[in-house]
Amino acid sequence: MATLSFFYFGSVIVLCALLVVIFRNPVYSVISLLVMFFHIAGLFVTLHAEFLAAVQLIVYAGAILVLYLFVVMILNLQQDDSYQRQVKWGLGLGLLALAEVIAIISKAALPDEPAQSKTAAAAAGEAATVVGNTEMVGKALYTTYLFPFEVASLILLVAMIGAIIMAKKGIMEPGPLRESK
Amino acid sequence: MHALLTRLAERFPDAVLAVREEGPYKDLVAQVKPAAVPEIARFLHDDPEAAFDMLSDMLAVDYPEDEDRFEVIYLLKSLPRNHRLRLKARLPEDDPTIPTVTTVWKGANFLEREVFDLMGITFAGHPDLRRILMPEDYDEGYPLRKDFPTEGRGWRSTFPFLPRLDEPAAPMASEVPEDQHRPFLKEAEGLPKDTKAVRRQEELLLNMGPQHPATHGVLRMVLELEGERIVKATPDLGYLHRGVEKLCEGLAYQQIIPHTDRLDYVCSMTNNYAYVRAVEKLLNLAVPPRAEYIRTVVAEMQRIIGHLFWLGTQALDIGAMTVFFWTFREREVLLDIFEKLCGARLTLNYYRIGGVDSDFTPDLVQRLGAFLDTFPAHLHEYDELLLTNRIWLARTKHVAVISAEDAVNFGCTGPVLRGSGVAYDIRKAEPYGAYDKVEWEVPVGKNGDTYDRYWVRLEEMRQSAKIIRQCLAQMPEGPIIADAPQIIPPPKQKVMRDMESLIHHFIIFTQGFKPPKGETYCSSEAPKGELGFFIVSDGGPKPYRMKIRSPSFVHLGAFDHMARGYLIADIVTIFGTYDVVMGECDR
Amino acid sequence: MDMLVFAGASVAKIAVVMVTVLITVAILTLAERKVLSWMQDRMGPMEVGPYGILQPIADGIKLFFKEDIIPAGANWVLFSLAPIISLIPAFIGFAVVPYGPNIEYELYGVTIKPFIISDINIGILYVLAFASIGAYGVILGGWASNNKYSLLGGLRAAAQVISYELNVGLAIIGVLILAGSLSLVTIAEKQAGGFWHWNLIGGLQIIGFVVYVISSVAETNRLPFDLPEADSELVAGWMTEYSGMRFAFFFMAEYANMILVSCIASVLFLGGYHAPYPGTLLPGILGYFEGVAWFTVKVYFFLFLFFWIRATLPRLRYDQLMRFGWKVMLPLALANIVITAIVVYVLR
Repeated sequence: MATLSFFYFGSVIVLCALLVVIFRNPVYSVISLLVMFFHIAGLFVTLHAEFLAAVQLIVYAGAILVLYLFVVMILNLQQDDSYQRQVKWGLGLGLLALAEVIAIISKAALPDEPAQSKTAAAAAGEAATVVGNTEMVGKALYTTYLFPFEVASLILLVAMIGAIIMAKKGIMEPGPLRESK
Repeated sequence: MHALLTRLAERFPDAVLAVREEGPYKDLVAQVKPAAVPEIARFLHDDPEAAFDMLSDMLAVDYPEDEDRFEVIYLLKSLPRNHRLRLKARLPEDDPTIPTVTTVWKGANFLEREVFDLMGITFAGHPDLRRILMPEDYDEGYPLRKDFPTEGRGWRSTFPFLPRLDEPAAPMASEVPEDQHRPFLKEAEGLPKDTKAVRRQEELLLNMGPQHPATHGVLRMVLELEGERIVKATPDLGYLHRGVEKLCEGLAYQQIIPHTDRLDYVCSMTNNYAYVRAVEKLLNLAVPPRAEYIRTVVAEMQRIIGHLFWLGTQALDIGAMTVFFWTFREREVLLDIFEKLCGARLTLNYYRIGGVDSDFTPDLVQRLGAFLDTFPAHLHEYDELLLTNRIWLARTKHVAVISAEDAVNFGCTGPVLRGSGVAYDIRKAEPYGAYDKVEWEVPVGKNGDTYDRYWVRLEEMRQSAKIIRQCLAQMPEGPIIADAPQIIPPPKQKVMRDMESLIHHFIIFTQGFKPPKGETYCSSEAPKGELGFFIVSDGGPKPYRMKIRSPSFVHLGAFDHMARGYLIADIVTIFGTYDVVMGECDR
Repeated sequence: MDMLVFAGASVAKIAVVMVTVLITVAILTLAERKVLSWMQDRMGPMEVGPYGILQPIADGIKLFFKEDIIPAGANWVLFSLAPIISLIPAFIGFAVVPYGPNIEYELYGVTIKPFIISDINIGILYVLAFASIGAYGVILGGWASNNKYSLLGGLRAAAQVISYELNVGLAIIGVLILAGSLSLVTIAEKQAGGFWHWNLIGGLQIIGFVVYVISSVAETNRLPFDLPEADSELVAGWMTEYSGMRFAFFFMAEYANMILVSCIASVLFLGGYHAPYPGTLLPGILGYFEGVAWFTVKVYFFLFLFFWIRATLPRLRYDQLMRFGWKVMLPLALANIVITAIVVYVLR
């Protein structure tokens, strides 16, 4: 059952990821990305990480992707194919990534993998029922991984300030348009 | 001779051909050379003694037999001095060109376009001289010229610009073809060139209307948006143009009254009133006092209805739906009274030249009194929902601001002008009816924003209620129609029994009456602003030329000025704040 | 066997909940018109059935038999998909709402909770996750219609939903801190024993409550925040080109969303199925239904609030809406979290 669902989710994820690049209409790309996010969330659920699944949906599907869609619609890129002329770069980077994946998989002893993940998932599931999945994530974040967590939030803060400054540049110029409050 | 006319004649000895005082009301008229119009206009505008700060209206009259065929007439109004002047210039047929006065009065923009559209007079230097009421590709000529038949040239179906239903529609490349973008996508005047280069602008062209829930009829608004901000708003009028002015040239004076109902169909009584007053002024006809009081009461009832209608729709546009239903509840009471008074509810037709159609019954007076008793409480209800509502304040304060100078310069009148702080009300400035016999005040705003206009209109409703109450108390007994047998038909009962009266009736209704040769302009304070009728009489039973000065049309001329820089959501607020009725605007 | 019993019970519960929600939607369409008309001094629908009570059925039949129009130039795949995308998330959230007391039955050896479809431990996050998906229906519908009004409506909806979802999420964190759980059942259970134990009163979550209610009005696109479909500006916003059943789907989604946020509000802040007094008045099984009745009353209170607000307030302007969301609601919600966290820490 678990293997079955894993393969279902995995194959759909791969398929949707491919469709994201294949579709020429960016809106379709965004939708296949949405489907992909859903299946990633499903994968998290099979691993008993419900909290992560929910956060995956809220953050990626509910907020970030909506913004993508927003931008795509405003710019109306439908006929713009300047983004398709990067085959050389794409091929090079893709081969590199593929090599990396193959290297990792060959190191990680493929036959053991399902069993390992199964026991890990079962253990996680047991732990989750005892203290609660969310609580575990919270504890881990604020104890073991406190430093990376804080660093990540600092980076995000800097990025946010930078984005605001860049966006404000145009607005702050004195324009003839009236400001109504 | 009026001091102003002598002064004008002395100042421009070459350009001013003649000055005179016309008619029984001593209207000031100055005949000038067309080339000198801008110069004289500038002088009349700037000179402290003249101070003609408002261009009320302008029109052209066609005299096909004369050497100089066209006469362009500017109706000027001075608010500080409270006097009017008619500036006239004759133009020849082969070159009907006159310099523009848009540099002096911004409101002339739309008015000159209308004259160009309907009479074919070119205004040299006009920034945007296009057809305004007729379709832009209309090539059948200029409808108001005398050689243009009233029923139009040929059958409608032969007009090439009309869509033919039996043929497949021509394929359209896009919603607005590229070459038609030009008139609307003109360089926005306020924007300096280089800002466009610095900021990448994603401009969106949005056609709002003619079918749109917030356009109050059929008005198209071509909005140039930057995001949701309006860069330029171009009103496209004329979807409701029926050619009323042309029609009236073929109708006897009393036949025109029902046509005026259809102008501002929300307040049809006011149009009747303005029209019959103009004819009475032309005839120099005195109206009996009781009729004057009744007219005043009915006009104020109509004003309340108009303002209630406005309040309801404006609130609905901004999203407060309850106010709309509440105002219609009150409107219903008044409409019932109108129904009792003259049998109709919307296109009322009650005023007659020389008086009114029927008398007030005691029952009506009592019903009106009952309405007035509850009306202030209902106004208070609206106030409770809106006056201090934070969202209402945020939506209306500092929206569509127009300064007093600009408002006057654009020719705005009525609550739009008073909201900007100019206490100009024709009922006070040039009293008519019983307005000078009752006590009331002119409410005036401060900032010229939507909220002030809202406040002004609400306060005007209170003042109207006050006027009605006083008029009902003071109303004298007496006849309700003037005693002028050449003009007024005899009462119906007599017509049925008396042979002389029947003949009399027959003559008046078949031949009409013949006012003296002359011209007159008479303006009344409609709920929307100054509603004026300019009538040229050639001594016949039909007006030679009639021009309707519709406040909505003039106000829409200021639309772009008031809408620029606001958000698209404000467009509906700005529409609403004028209280436009397209039936009156397009005529 | 266990699996079968569990599945059968779940399907039965889902069926009951779906039917209830659909009936409530039908009632709401009538109730909204009736409540508004009473507030506005008029009668409302009176023609179909006594006092117009059969109006929703007539409306449903009308919408069902309307011609199905897809505008020329529209993207028909997305145009057809959008109403469904918007409807599913609206209904799916009801799976984790506890409608009645948290009791368990043994049926053929399977434990079944009759008053909740699925008590998952991240219930509230589940609701938020699917609520955020609902925006897709609006955006895609607006884009696919090939209409500028629709597009503007869709874009507005996107920006609005993102902004106010954040506030919804932050407003409820105070409650979550108090309950120490993300499960709606646990949150409701912690508020047992009279109205002074409710989060709104006992937990002093007044700010959170206010922010939640306002933000959920905004998230469901209701007046005064109905900018995506502002009829006087954008004709009907993203729904401009929709008619017939597709329109009905959007309509049902809007009302289902209203019911959902009302359910969540009553669970989070008003004790859910708990009566305002300790325990129940009725004995045994009837006591359970007393809880359900109280829950219903609370949900309808919120729904009435929606109508009341609609009758009273004008619409905000778009920039005002954004300013309000980010500069008023967000700081308030954050302050609420900080205060609640400090108080809870000190008291523990």
